[in-house]
Amino acid sequence: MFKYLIILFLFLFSATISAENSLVQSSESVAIDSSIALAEDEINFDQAAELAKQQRLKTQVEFCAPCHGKNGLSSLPIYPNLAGQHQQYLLKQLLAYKYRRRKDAVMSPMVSRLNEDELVELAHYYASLSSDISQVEINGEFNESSEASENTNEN
Amino acid sequence: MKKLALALAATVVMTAPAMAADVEAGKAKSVMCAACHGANGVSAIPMYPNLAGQKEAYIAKQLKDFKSGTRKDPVMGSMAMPLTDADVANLAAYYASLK
Ligand code: HEC
Ligand code: HEC
Repeated sequence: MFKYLIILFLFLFSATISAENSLVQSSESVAIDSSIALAEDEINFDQAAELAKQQRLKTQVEFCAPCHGKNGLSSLPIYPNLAGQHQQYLLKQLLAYKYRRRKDAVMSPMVSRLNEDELVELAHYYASLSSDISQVEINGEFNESSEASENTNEN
Repeated sequence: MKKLALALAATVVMTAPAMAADVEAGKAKSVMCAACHGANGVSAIPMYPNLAGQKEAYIAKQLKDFKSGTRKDPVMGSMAMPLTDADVANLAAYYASLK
């Protein structure tokens, strides 16, 4: 019994010493590197946030694509083209559907789960696409950089 | 094969206007829309939508919705009010035909 206590004591003692050591060490290294580490973290955070935003937008655009076309040009007569439409107008309509000022049984549920930031991104994305019908076949893919294609209709 | 495609394209081109409304009449009527939607369906004001190249059936539905009040907008409601069914069809065909 006594033997066990000694062992336990020794164990606890050594544990506290090593814990203290590592504490001192780590706080020193933090003090030295903190400025650099922080800057790096910020960059990574920004990039990660930007990537997440792009990914989120891409997922949503894929969700709208069956009706409004991969490139904002719809292939069915009852679904409007969105490509090259004015950004402000698109945002106004998206918000109107969300808050049921413009009522449509199809569109309102599509946007009611999206927040306003996401609607701003979607409006920006579709406004940036070319409304040129001949483009449908050529770039039927998600436009990674929404700035890439020129907007023929914006003013 | 090429001939077949050409023949197909020709039938599409020939049947489309036959089904569609009167584009010229739509163009004449569109004079009253031009102030807001642009002379060629491309508006200069961000809050006024472009209509050029928009889907014909979609435009017609919106005009009917404005007229009936299903889609509410004080400006477009009063613009759509005096339009007849023929006007709506012609205007939709005209704007859809623009690029
Ligand atoms: C199931 C088909 C469907 C899906 C999916 C869909 N929409 Fe729609 N959208 C429609 C229909 C139908 C209308 C026309 C409704 C009306 O008459 O008001 C419309 C209208 C719109 C309009 C108004 C256009 C204008 O010129 O006023 C916008 C903007 C829009 N949709 C954006 C989106 C976005 C963004 C998504 C994806 C988040 C989406 N839609 C997903 C069917 C769909
Ligand atoms: C005084 C300005 C004004 C005039 C004139 C006007 N419009 Fe509009 N129009 C608007 C506005 C503003 C909207 C957007 C309404 C909204 O936010 O819902 C609109 C929307 C529309 C839409 C819906 C577009 C879409 O993508 O859903 C159609 C179609 C339309 N107008 C057709 C016409 C036609 C046809 C005429 C002529 C008979 C006309 N407009 C005259 C201001 C005008």
